[in-house]
Amino acid sequence: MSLAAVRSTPTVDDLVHQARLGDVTAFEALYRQLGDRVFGVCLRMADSREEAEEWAQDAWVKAWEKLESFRGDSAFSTWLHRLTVNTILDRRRSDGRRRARVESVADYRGVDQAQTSLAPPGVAHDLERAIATLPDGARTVFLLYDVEGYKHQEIAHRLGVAEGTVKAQLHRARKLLREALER
Amino acid sequence: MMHPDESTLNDFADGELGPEAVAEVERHLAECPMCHSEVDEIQLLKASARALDPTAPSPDLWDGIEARIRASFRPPLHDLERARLVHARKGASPGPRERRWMRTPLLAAAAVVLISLSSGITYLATRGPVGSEGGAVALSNGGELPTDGAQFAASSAAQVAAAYDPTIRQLREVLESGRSELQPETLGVIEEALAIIDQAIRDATEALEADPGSAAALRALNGTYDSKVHLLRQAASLTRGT
Repeated sequence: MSLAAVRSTPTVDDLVHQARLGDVTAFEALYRQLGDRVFGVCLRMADSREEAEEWAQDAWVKAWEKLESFRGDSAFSTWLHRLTVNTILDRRRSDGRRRARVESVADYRGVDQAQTSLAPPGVAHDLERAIATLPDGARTVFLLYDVEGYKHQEIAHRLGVAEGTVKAQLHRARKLLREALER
Repeated sequence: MMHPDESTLNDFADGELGPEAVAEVERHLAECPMCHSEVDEIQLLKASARALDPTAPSPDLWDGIEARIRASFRPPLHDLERARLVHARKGASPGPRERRWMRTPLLAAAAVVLISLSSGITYLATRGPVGSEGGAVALSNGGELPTDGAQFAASSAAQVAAAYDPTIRQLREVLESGRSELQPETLGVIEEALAIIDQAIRDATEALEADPGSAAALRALNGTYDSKVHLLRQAASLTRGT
């Protein structure tokens, strides 16, 4: 990329600034840069791809509506990520449905089922499958702690449970995942 | 040391143990291949989890997002434009009745803000002393304000205004620079809606000054400013044609 091209390429901060002034095109550019990560969070916590896309859409619409609350204290991607997780948890609470265990992620992830052993480069696919089979509470805590990097206290506060419960769920999730990956 | 339990090994892997407990576990791991292997597996699982790739959504997901963003403001103005064109074909400008009808959706939205805020302000005025509302109040636009006494009220209303003024000024500039992109009727609707919200802001400011230290009144004031910024941003997006 030429120096001129680098200089003319807007940064995330530039795009956020423009979006806050009503520029939907700038907001779309943010979506193009960060959309995959937002969707990934949703997909791992959803029961279906359709549900994940609904949640992702909700998160982006909420981000547009709350742009003025982003003050630059953290990276925009961090702010967006937290907003996405909050959106997911709010949706799950309001939906109030009993979440079914997912038997296989291949149905909605389009992942082939060739590999079953723990060996790179198939580790990611095996782990994704195994995560999808976790019980709801364990899956949520594992995703928030080990995948998304939240602290125990934050997770406990957000889920409305004791910190000890969060730890117990996390340890249970890891045990189940290790057992699943060793099969 | 006996074998640490599963919870302790997990806490060790997460850096959640105190220094003495860490030292104790490390001494054990140096002599116990089984526990050492278990910690290694936990660490490997954590590393694999952190390395999971982002996942691409359907190519048309943005279309749905964009439609929802624009739908939150555009429909009333589509009605305005359509009505204007109908009357233009008939060779007449929209009369007062039509203009009231065209204004209705947007003014209704702004009026909802005023009505809900008025109800909230009435409720606040009838409540007793708010001694139980101590502690810092987080603003939705960032930062915190203390909750102690009359001085808090005077400074907090001013602080809220000061926090939002730069954004409002910028959005106003965008709107002004793009005025020629909008029909006069559309501009009229926007200005009327802003007048309603500005009245709501004045009322919320008075409520806060009448009830110093009220976190609820502060939140209400914050909410009206959020509404103003949201409205201005939507209006600004129309001038850009984006």
